[in-house]
Amino acid sequence: MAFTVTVMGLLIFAAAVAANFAGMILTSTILGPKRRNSVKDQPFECGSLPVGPTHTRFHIRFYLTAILFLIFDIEVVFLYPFITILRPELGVTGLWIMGAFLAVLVFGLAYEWRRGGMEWD
Amino acid sequence: MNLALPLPEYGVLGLALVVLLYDLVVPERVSRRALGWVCALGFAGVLALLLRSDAPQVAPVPTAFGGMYVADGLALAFKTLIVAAAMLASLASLDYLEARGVRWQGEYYLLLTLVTFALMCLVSAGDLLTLYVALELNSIGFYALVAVLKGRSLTSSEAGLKYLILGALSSALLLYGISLLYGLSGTVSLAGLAAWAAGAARSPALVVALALVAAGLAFKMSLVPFHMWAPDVYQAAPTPVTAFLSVAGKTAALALLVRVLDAALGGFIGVWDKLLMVLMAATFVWANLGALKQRDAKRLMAYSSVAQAGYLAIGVAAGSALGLQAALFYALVYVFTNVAAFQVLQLVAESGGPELSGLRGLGRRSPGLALILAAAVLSLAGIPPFGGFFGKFYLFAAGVREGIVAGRSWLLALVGLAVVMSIVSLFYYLILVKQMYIEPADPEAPGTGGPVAVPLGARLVLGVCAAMILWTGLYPSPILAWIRQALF
Repeated sequence: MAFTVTVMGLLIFAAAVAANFAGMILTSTILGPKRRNSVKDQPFECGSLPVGPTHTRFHIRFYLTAILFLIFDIEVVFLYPFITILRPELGVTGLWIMGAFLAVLVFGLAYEWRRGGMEWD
Repeated sequence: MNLALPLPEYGVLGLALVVLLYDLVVPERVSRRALGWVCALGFAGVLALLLRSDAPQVAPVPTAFGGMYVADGLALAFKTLIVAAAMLASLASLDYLEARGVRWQGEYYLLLTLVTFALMCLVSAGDLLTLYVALELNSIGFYALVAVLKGRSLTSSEAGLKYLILGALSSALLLYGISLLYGLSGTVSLAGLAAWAAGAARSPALVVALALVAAGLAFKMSLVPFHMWAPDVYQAAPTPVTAFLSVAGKTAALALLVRVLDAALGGFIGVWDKLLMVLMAATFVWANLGALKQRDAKRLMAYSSVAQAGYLAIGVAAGSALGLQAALFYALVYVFTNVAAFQVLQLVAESGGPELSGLRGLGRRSPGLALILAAAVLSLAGIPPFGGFFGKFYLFAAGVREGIVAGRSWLLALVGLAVVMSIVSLFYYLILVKQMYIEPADPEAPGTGGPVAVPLGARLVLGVCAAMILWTGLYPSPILAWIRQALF
């Protein structure tokens, strides 16, 4: 019973998404103005050149961004499963341990902030 | 699971956070010199905690984190040495960094504490993966510490880069070996490996795995031919870092060799002991002959450290309880002896430069410093009444005993080679003594006038080390009893 309800919900949602999608395309096809030019025939028209060198250079400062991303990514990787088993298994002890883990990260963040790692120039 | 078990590690990690907080809160213009004292006091506290705790004396040793952290007597004893070395290194760094105006002093002490934390986790590793992560953590810290003179010394940056590249290579070798071992045994836990090694058949893959693991560990311990980073790094790194790297890094690597080869893969001693003995024989010959030609005092001590690593490995190659005790005793002597030698060289280099000739006339200028350096190098050479004599004696005795009892004639030959090369080493150790006492001082050379200035931090380091060199040589029985109790 519960399974059928879930599947029905999914199906209705999928149908709604498909209808919405089709509706938008259809409306813009019928109502939108049609002025063709060469730019509109390119695969992307968001201002980026479709053909060019593949080895693009980017700024070395991005490495700090990458490191920061890694740290907080790992934090989330730990936090999510932690939350799901906090109530049934870990209890207050688990909360303290996670607090200690987060405290270490907060220290790192404070250091990074203070040393100007968040500033671009 | 016992979360309170890694209490010493928590202590060091807490110290690291205190250092970080101090560095963040105190304004930029205030000197970070006080951090050296904070670190030294913190390490002294952890050292007291380690010395007060008793090694477990019954078979199932306490573990934490699902067996990934082991708190046995071996870990306890090696941690004591590492924390003592960290304390001495903080004291030695105080005035060294201040005199050079190093910009990143807060980071320096932070890295020093984090490296110590990593080394402590390393000797407590109960799992190949914990071991690898801890090894990487301490290596990365050391790469930065070696290059901390960046902007003031080009060679320091160069040494840091060399160490980084070669260290990454060795980590890759070790990791590949670990992956092969895991593929063969299906476990990364050291206890699981020991159970597997008791009954597993030998295969070519096993030989490759053991060779890769031994190479990775030999790199960290700087055994020939994996020593090529050591002379450059030891010469160009800030002297307190050199001292810390040469003693703490090496003792932790020794603990790893014991844990991985003797304890976990003891069942394959017939395979790895030949690999290890080839490395050791090469170490004895190459390091001792290489040291003869050196002109730079720290470079000479680097070759000496490589040779000392070879002696330490005799205890591992013997694979017996006696060998392990002897290796631990020698590691203890080596920590205090080497720190004393580097501390004197650091003080002398401030006025006389890094060359051996800078030592000339030290016997007259600063008799105390000259005496301590002479005692340290004679202890390294194995001359009584200093600790190094007993250390070498126990090591060689353990090797000979194992060679005769187990009928391993190659081990006997290796110990014979070690004795011969130990005599060769006396030559270059005596060059240092000769420079201090016999060679006439050049009156034109800079800084040959008055006595060498010895600040309070260095005084403490030298006092502790000199006392330990004498204590280990004159009355070693309490220390031996402590070691036996730790390694029951």
